[in-house]
Amino acid sequence: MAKRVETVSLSNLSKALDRAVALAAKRHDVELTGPNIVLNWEILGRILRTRVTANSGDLLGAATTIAQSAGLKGTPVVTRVGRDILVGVIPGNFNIQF
Amino acid sequence: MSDDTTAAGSTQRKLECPSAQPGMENARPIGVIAGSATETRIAFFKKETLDQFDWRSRFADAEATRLLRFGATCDESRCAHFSSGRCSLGKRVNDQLAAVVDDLPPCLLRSTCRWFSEQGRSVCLRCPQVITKIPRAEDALNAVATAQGSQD
Repeated sequence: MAKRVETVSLSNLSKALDRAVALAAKRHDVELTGPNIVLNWEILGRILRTRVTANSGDLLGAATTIAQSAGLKGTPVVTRVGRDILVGVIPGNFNIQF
Repeated sequence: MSDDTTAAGSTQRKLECPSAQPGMENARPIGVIAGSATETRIAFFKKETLDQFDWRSRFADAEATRLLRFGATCDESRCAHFSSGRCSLGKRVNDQLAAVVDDLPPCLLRSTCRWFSEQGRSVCLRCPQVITKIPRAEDALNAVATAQGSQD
């Protein structure tokens, strides 16, 4: 009998939540949709830094990937200020009048 | 007695419920439901996971207990399981469920957990099978979860 305790680290949180959703669907006969993980901005920043490094500095490409993977709908925007990379998403229904 | 004293005995701390609702005072998830559909287990969060998990944005309503286990400040007399100054649910979990792990889970709540405080480490060996939101079909867990004279 397996008696080891399972733990959830930050790197496997997303996978653990997806698995929990699948389990809930079986156990409760419900359906859950949409992205199942929302990390705070610090983590998004770390993901961005990793992606930018991996993509040889393609900031907008990295921002687009992050926005899509986080389920953020809208237009990704990105800029670099010194060492910092700022990423945002303009909501699709954003409407401002001056 | 609703409060407990620290080892130093100088300050009081509120004990916490390890099977709480996300809307309760000081609520935060302590683990996610894992295992299989027929043998569910809690996978416990590491501290860094909880620190970085923005759970309130999507998992703040009661339905989140289908996915997560929450800890929160014990509601004491406002809870159906609180009886004679103790948690009857923790006692039933300890008395009626079998141990499912060999070692103490790395639980973020233990230092303030009411179940651990009242039942000791044996309840921790049974705790990973406890799911706050139980489908009606799971009779064994429901029997333990239902306080006498109440319907949870």
